[in-house]
Amino acid sequence: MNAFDIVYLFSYFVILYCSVLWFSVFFVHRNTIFVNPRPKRYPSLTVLVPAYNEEKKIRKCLDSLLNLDYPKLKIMAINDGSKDRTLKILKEYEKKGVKVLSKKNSGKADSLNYALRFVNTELFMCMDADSYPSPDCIKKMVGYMEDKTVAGVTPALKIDEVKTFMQKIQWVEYVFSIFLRKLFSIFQCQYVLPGPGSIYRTQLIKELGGFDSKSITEDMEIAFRLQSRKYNLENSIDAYVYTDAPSSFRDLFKQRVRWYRGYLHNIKKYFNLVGNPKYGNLGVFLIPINFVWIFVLFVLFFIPLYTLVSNFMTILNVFSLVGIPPINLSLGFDVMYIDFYSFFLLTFVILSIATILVSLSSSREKIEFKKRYLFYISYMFIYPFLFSIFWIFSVFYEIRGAKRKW
Amino acid sequence: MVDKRISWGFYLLTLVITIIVFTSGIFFGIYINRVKVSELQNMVSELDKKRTEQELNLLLTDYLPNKTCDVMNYEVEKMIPDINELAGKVTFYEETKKFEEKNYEDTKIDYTVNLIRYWLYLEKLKSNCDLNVTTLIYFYSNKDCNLCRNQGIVLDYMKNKHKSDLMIFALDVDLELNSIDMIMKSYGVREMPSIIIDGKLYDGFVDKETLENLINPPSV
Repeated sequence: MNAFDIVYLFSYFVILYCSVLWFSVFFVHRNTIFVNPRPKRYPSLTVLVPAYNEEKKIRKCLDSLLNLDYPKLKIMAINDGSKDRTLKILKEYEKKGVKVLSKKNSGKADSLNYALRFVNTELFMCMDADSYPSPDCIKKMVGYMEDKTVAGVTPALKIDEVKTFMQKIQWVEYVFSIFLRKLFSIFQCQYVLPGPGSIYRTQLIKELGGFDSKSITEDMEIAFRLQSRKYNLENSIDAYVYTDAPSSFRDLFKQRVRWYRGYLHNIKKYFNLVGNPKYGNLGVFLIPINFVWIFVLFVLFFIPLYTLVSNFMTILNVFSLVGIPPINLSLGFDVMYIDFYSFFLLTFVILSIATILVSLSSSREKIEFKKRYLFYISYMFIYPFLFSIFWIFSVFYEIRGAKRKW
Repeated sequence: MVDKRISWGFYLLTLVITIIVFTSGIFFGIYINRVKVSELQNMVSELDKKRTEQELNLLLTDYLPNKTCDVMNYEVEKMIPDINELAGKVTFYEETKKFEEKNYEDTKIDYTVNLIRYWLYLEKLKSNCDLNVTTLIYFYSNKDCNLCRNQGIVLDYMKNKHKSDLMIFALDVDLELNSIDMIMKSYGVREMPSIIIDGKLYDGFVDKETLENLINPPSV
């Protein structure tokens, strides 16, 4: 046993613990996960759509909003100083009942705060201009708001169009997030109210002073703020909102570094939650375990990298000593070649497959292995590596204190 | 707002399940290691049996009317790949093991004693029966020997290249075996790695070209 082995075993323990935890929560609540509370009445609701240079996507978004099946609905689009034809397109929709606001460019959070001044409905929903809700989505969510302790409801996000390799990996990730977000809501430890499709109480958010326009992840900041005031955040697992996912590595990298730095920044801001039993599972479990997870991600990145480099050095060494050695492949089973970690690796693979299967069934997706086998394989083997890279850079930038930007 | 609930029940249940699975994994690792050592032990026993039989054959020739060198040389030719395979497995085991297994030390000593005895047997066969095999003794240490890794790579290459014409006896000096000490003293071995080829000592690392010339002297 060297230091690597100890670190590996520790990481394995953490991964196993979290997997078992979420599987058992899922198992205990398996019958109620898909049940949304039936609303006794339909509270009035405004959908807010801030848009900055969204001429390509805004039509599809507004069309899907007009197609929403909800009785007391208002739609408000905010042109955030776009330089393209966004405002012109918005004006077209004024005839169909969309209220259009236009202002100088000031960012998403500020646009929402500006619009909130004009909102007079009981609830409001945020919607990104590149996202499209399913028609029944609001009806599935508003029932949760009848409980006075609930301050927000999150939808289930799916990727709208899967074209590039990066989107294929993210497709599985989003499906997994649908499953995980529901479990987080059961544990009352959601810390994001995703930009597209979350529902809030208008009065409460106004009292809290609206969204934090200094934050790079205002949807996470507001969730942390509500959690710090001990409000509950719920989730509807089948209120689907379809969203655009970054198509290239570069865009995905930028998005994730923004998210994860936003997370680190919020932890700093709401540090009194960390380890505090007053804040329930979020305080005593989720935030602390996330710290451990960041460490595990470093391990999952650097140890394989080290092994890869050292193996490469060995090959170089062999080459310099004897040239290209004759390769004698011996096929067939031999007990000598069973690794110490075989059992761990096997449970690992079983857990990953089980996670994918449970996530698929939670988000009502079929396996369609022939069509999606590349999605699954790349999610299992490439995603952890990407995820580590994003986190490592986020931590690095945050420590170095680089300027946060959108 | 009221304080939030903490799901202690879940955390505890999960901890119990995780510990069960985790310790199963550790026990599996320990078990598989034990199986490996007993597999090595079996191979050493097999080697021991064959070697004893061959030594008996050599003793027999002194009393038999006709020389039976052909048979004995043929047996050696068959035996060398088996020993090489075992040597490969011993090295692999030592490189990948995660902890010390008590039984392994005994197996290793048993294995090394067999190697030394087989070396003696080959030397006798070479003088009595004109056996055409180069014998090479390689002293190594897993503890403090920087160049042993490289020497191992070169010797592995030679082993694969020469097949049954070359027999390498890799002796681990960390075992502190009396017979190894005796051989070392007698040849005056002072550093690791060291090689003895057909009775001559070569101190320190020997590279591929030099070794090639020593094993297969270029014909003049």
